[in-house]
Amino acid sequence: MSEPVPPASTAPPAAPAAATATPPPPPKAPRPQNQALRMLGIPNLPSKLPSRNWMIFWTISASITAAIIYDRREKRRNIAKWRHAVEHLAAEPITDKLGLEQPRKLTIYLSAPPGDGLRVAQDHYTEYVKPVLAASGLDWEFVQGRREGDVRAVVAERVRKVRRGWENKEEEDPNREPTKDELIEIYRQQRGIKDYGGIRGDVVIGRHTWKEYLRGLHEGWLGPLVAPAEPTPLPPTPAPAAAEGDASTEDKPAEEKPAEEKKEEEAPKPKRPPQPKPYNTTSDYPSESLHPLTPQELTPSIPIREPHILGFLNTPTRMVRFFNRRSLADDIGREVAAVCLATYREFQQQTDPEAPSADSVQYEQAKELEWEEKDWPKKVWKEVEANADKEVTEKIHTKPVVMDPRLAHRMRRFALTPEDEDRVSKIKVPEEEVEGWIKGSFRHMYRWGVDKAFNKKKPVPLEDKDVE
Amino acid sequence: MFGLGRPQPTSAEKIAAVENELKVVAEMHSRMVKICTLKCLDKTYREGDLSKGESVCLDRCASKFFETHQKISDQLQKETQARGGGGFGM
Repeated sequence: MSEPVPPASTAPPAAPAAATATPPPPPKAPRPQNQALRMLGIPNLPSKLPSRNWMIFWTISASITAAIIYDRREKRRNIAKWRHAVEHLAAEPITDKLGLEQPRKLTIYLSAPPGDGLRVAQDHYTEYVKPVLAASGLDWEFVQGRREGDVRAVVAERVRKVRRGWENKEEEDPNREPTKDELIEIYRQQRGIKDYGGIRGDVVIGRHTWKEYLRGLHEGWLGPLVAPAEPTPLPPTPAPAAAEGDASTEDKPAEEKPAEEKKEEEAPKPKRPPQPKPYNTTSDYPSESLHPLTPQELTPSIPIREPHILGFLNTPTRMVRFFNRRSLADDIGREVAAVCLATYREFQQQTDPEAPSADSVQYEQAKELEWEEKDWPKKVWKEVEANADKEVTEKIHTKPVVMDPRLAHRMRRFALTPEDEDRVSKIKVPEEEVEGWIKGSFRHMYRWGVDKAFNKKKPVPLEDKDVE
Repeated sequence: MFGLGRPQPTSAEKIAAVENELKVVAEMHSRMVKICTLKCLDKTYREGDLSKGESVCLDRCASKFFETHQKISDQLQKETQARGGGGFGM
């Protein structure tokens, strides 16, 4: 220990000094003790600080603990703030007394982040998005994707369903069993229960889901209504991105066939139905036409941050994020509150001033949450076809976002209005609402004590008698 | 003993079974109402009518209740069958 030896004059502990020192200096009388403390049986307070190493230890542990506690509390405060911002929606009385009116229903898109499972996304949703949604009294449903492309397939299929309704109603296959949703829909139609007429909303969680969502929208609105014939590989595309795309599309059927045959031998019943193949490719967009009935405004949507980084070497980044979850809660709360309040704006786009052409337009949709891609594990970016998941029909996460101007102009993004921002910034969340168990129980005890000491119970008159 | 070798139930037995089922359903319904009321409704009763948040909450509560009930009864049935099958095997 490099600790400097204290000079002999400063009162050393009595016992060792008496034992080792030569007799002449008589042991000093112990310092006069605080009488009150002595009577209480509390020994003298230590007269010096603990050693350097203990100091380091205590300082570090105390500051880490304090940082965690502070961050947690502020996170709770931020979430509570946004909860209060949307609470008035839940308190509105229902207009239809029979209760048959459908509430506004949002769609939540969740999918497994690259390199991890769906559970992570679900937990993220439960922690940051759900409290605000639940307070707003809206209804919501999920679209969850376990593999890359699942969300894309669902989004596209929903859009195609709308389009099929416009075009040909007779082509419904009579032998096909109606799905559960269709049964409910038919039931509602029979009872004359109308769907919610106002704005719905799409909440898309994470950049990876956002990319799939965009691709799905394009596939649904621009692509054909009937799936392209199965055995023929997708038509060779002359676009610049075709080099890689061709390789993957041509390789896949060849690879898949033996896999399918094997599957039939081993397990004739797959656990879940295969992912539908995309009906078009990103390079087909310009040549495809949009249905004239396409609404001028699509359902507004919003991408929600989902910071997710893996790996031991990224521990510093993860630590920083862990200690700053309050700001994440605030950001997400703002976006979700905008969804609940149903205020939205157009997506912006920038044109490169040097070369104004159709290709150089920068769409805001494509840039949304782009920095999240840096967190994705490296193996996602490696195009190893041999190891690729056979069930993934199209790589979306690693491909750049291709936007079609016709759809880009029709998309809307939820955003808070300045008035709402103003209103929310005035909301003060009381400490009592966000404090934890320890502080809460102290407060409770204090209240109880004050109540016992100073508040006299009023006698309650009951049947002409005063009851204590 | 578990359903295989049993003779055809008489009409009285059938009626008893239906009554039993009705009792179970009614009980489940009352339990659901109790739980969902506890979960969703504001105890101050400021309004005579439901608010939007409460109606959505009740809706979701009921659907969750039935889903859970369905899952549990499926599982129970499976277990009873398994036990019954085991009993026959021995």
